[in-house]
Amino acid sequence: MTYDAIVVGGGLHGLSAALHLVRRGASVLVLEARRVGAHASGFSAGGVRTLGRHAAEVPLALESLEMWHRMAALTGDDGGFRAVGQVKVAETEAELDGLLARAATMQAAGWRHEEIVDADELRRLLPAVRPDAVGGMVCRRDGFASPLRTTLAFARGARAEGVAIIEGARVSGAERREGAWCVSAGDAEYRGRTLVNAAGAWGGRLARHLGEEVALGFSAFLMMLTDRQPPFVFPVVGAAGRPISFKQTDDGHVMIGGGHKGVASLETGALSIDVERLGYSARTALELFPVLAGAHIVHAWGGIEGVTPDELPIIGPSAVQDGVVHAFGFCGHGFELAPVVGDIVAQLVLQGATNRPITAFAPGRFKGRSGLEVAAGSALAQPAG
Amino acid sequence: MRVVIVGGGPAGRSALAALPQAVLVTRPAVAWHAEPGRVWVEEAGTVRSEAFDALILCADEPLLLSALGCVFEGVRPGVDGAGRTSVPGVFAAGLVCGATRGETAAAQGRAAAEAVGSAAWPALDGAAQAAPERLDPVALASLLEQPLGPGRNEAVLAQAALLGPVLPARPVSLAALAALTPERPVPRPVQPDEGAL
Repeated sequence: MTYDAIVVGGGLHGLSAALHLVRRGASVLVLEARRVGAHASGFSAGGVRTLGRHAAEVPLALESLEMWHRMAALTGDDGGFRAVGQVKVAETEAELDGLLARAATMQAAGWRHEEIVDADELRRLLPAVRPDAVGGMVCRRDGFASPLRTTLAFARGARAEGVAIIEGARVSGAERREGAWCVSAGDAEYRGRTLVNAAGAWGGRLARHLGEEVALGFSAFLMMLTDRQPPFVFPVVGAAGRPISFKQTDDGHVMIGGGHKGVASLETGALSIDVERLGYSARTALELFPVLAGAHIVHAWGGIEGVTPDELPIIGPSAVQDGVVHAFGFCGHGFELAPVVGDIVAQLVLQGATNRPITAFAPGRFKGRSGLEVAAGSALAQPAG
Repeated sequence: MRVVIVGGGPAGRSALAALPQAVLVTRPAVAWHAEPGRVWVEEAGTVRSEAFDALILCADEPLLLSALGCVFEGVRPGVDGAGRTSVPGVFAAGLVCGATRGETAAAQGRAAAEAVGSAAWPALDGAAQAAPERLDPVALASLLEQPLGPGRNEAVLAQAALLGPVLPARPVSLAALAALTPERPVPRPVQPDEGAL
């Protein structure tokens, strides 16, 4: 059988692409090296965030947010999505000035989803926040969801509509023969007219195999959960001046993440946490919310994410191969984008083009540069997840 | 050689008697996490690490061994007659090996202490029973909050068989952890990848 598309990677983006493809009438095979949602898709902080996005991501993030608000219709399950809003706290006047400048830039571009709030409104939104916080920025329709539940919902939805998903199928090769991609995984070979590279942190390896060098490294973003606490915070919270992502789940656990990294291996998928860096995340959380003084950390973990030099994802047709579409390297903040990126991939596969603005994410944009150093962008400091 | 003994029961005391220079971690100190060459301890509102060349784990804390990558046979660590686990430099004795009689535990602790420094290391296989279904991090947190005991450990080790080590072995005070790192660490750079399929 020759599939219309073979998707490499059973994470959230691969499964979203598969669901959108099958809904547009394509036959689809998903090959997943381990299990569905085995890496970042099942381990992220689950932030559904338009707040603070790079300008290039804003149109996609806003469209995707609308899809999040209809998630149950898309996948059959709302993924645990809670539209509780996201708030970025300014701890100093200088940080608030930075948020004001950002809001002015966004409004000049016609985007009004980011709202500045003063200290009084901040305290109404976050009664337990440190008393000297001076204000913040809020996106009231943002929120959070359960990453694993969402990923499994996309998988169920895709399977229900006829997508074949093979787990434990590590891709070891792909070559173009007679107008189709022949993809090897284990002892088997599969044929597809189009190859979708949604291999996450491993996406650079598949691109390299196909003759396309993409500047992609990886990071192991750390997160932790406290024991159950009485309800004290409803929105997802970030900080303007330091990396943190912070939210309280329905059952009272407080999830703390935001960008500190451990060390991972792409060979084994193993990851080691960094206790000192967890300590700094704990310090930030405690300084923002002194009410946590008696809490205990009961779980810590990390997720492996592909990271590009400009901290923007790779989305688009291959610059060197026919019949290849890339969607990987989401730099720790791809969760919210998954619904719309899946549809973009489906358009690219089936129509050869998309009506969404994706030029900034072109796979070939790093040609001629070396290294993975992060360039300054137009986003606020973005918490991973 | 720096030796750390975790657990102050018969096995730990017996190991300490044979290795009086060793560092003993026992209540009220709690060993809450382990990584290669270091055990993390919480005591009196602070968090510290104890570096080790050899570790003798005697407390009933199998998740510490899991964190170090030791193989398990069911819910017990795989060990040889001297308590060597599958990870060089890491020994298990006493309660964590299922020894309920003080005499047996003490003998195991002594055997492990006598084997510290030996070059030989066994090749051990093991297979913890993997859970049929993966839990998400919030559900894992709920599981880790359950009272310590064989049921909780078995369930966590079954998740570890699917996911890799489930951390930490014991809850740690957020305030104590926060006190460990007063300054913002230098961001860790993106890890490069030159690998192939």
